[in-house]
Amino acid sequence: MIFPFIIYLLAFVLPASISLAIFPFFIKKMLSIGKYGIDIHKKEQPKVAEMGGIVTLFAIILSSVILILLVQEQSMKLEIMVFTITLTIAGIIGIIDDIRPLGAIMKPILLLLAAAPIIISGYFTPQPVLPFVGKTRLTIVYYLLLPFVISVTSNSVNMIDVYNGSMASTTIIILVCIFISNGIINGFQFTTLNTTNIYILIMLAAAFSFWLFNRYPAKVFAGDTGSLIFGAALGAIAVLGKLEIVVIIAMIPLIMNSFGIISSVKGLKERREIKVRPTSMTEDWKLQATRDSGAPITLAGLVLQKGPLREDDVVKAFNILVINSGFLSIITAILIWVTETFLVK
Amino acid sequence: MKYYKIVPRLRSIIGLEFFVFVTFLAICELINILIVNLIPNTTDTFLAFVYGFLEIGGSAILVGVWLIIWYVLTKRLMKNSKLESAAKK
Repeated sequence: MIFPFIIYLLAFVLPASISLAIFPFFIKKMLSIGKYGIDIHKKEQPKVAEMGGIVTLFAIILSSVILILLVQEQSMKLEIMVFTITLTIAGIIGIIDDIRPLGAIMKPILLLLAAAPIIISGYFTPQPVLPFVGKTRLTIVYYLLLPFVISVTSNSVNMIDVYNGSMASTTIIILVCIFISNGIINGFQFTTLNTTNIYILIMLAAAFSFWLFNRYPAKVFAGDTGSLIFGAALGAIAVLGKLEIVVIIAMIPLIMNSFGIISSVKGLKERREIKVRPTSMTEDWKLQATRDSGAPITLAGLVLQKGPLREDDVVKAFNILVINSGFLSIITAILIWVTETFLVK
Repeated sequence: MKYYKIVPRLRSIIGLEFFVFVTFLAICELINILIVNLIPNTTDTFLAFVYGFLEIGGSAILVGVWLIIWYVLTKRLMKNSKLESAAKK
């Protein structure tokens, strides 16, 4: 039997080392075959390799296969498999979207499919726990909402992926807070295996190694492949780990961003379809909010309301907002623990 | 720029985050007081179904109200800031 701590260690080390080993070659290859985008927020307009999410997806799949082989319990093997298949479906949709852009409505519809492995497997409890209330009985409603979970979280993460490192750093913060929250609710037990910890550690490693190459100034973009994978992972962790409310609270800034965009452009629209950009560059290459009333309302626009900022400072502002919501998610976890331990009869 | 220097620009958004969180907790407490504690347990199948429906319906309405408040406030905050920045310029 392999000691649980070793599994946790491998859940972090495997995806991190695979990603760190592949990214430098991947970036070179993508630049050489002309699969790059121009970083429009820099004066030099550098070429940046696209579709970095492919490496992340590969690292997650390979690590999961190894972990499935190492884990003893059959149900845990299946749970890790369900998690990985969910992410793979989201990743494939992202790859298709990166190669041949899907419509703004088609993408979320296709993402409903990503929840299929979770629904079919039945590895979820349709009883989300609310602070003060305890377990709720939402059997039918939960089944109705389940297909939308992956779609909503994926699109929210996708919409925050606008600046160097913004998606990766906010995802890392959210994952750390979910990890702490999971520990508070289910106990920090490193002598027994908890599959939610495995998912979180895999994703933390993948996000951290991606961030190293995507942080300002970026060498690689995630593409929709990357953002949909990370978004799908947050949704899957929420459902499989019974952490629905904690994840919603941790994702408040990302959901606010999506609310703003969807309401201001009046429905779902693809990034390429929105003519007026929410931000523009100043003469000294800082980001500023655009004056145009037709521009979508975004979190970046809100942050830039009090004056222009450098791109990396806007990302820092996003991080502050996510640290705040992450802190609130940990408080939520404490309240859930108190409710389950002391208040529910 | 250092992190602490950025915080003052984010006051209104952080305020909204706290508001969303506190209203969520308030709604949870309301569900607990008005729905979970008031509706009795019964062995009658029909009544159990009606009570269950009332519990879920009532909770769904309250959570729906929370989501709408969140949506409206986010939209207002973003619109206001946009108008303010346009006026400044």
